[in-house]
Amino acid sequence: AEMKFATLFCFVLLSYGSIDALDIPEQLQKLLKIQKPAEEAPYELPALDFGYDSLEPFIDAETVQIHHRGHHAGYTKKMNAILKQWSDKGENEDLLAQPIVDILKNGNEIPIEFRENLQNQGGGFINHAWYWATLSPLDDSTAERKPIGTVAAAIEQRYGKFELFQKEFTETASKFFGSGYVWLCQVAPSNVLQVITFPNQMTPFAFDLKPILVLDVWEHAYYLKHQNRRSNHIDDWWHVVDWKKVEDVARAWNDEGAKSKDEL
Amino acid sequence: RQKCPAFPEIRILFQGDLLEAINRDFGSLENLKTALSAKTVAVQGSGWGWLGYNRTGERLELAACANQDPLEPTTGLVPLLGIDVWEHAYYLQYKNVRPDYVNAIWSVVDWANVAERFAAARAN
Repeated sequence: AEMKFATLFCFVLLSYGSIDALDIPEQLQKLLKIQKPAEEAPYELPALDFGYDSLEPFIDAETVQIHHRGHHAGYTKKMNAILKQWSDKGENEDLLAQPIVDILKNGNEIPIEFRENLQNQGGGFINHAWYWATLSPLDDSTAERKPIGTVAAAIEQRYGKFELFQKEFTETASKFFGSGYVWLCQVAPSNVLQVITFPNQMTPFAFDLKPILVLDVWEHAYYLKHQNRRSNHIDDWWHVVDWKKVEDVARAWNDEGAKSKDEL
Repeated sequence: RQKCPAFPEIRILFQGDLLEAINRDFGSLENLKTALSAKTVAVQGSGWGWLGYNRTGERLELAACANQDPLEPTTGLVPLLGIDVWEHAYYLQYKNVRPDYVNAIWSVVDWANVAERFAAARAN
């Protein structure tokens, strides 16, 4: 109920225009591989940092492949097609010239005939990039997967200990109804952490939120392996969350650079 | 259901006034299928595409609802035929290719049932 209220609250404030949507730092866009391509070139499907079977036995190869090459690629292609149509129209070219993250921040300025479709397809392009960006295969050097650095400190401050955060995130993900994502966000200006859900392909950064971790709970994220047993998908996903990458994302938001690997 | 050698759907539809209403409100059965398929495939996220009956206007209409929003409380239309496009309805067989699933489902629509619902909706 708290999550629904938070989402509704953000909706209401955004519609009244009293929340400033955040700039996504260029470095973060690069980390996510969603930065604007040169000239008029279309966006490319962000490449995974790992092979399709690398997340086994936790996320199955067929799911990763279809999720990336079917769903994420589909959003990318459709987003590009809409941007092309918009370009052919020659309307509001200043906005069109911006990176997709900035276009979606200014949703009300997208020409109405493209708006909902671009928010859906562009949201899908961005959200999936975020999902892949904080996953990695297990390797021999990996100890148990736990938060590090500033994120670890923020989790401890907000939740007391990691297990309590994990419990809240897991319960939120289990209870969420329909298609959507579960996000861990820093909330500006204090960067306090908040677990929050958004339906379909809505994007949190349009609501003064700085997402650092996301779980996809659309059924396509887990149905081949788990069928309707979403809880098993959530359990599996925790195994492949890469907290070094989460720390990189958090630092990129906060403009401290992705230093975590060097500092370790 | 066993299929007649020729035009099984038309045979069943001729049992009532449903085909007449479809022709009147959509032009043809093919038009209905095309329109409802398109509307259903276009559902964002989880939801259903519907053929419904508008009791006030006395006509067939199409609708799409999100998640498990029920048709009649949401739109006022009486449900006649629903196509579930939550991914769980098709993912194991069709993966991300929702259009293939929606095209295929017409082969297993029970038009006799749709015709019964239509008759009941009109009678009320």
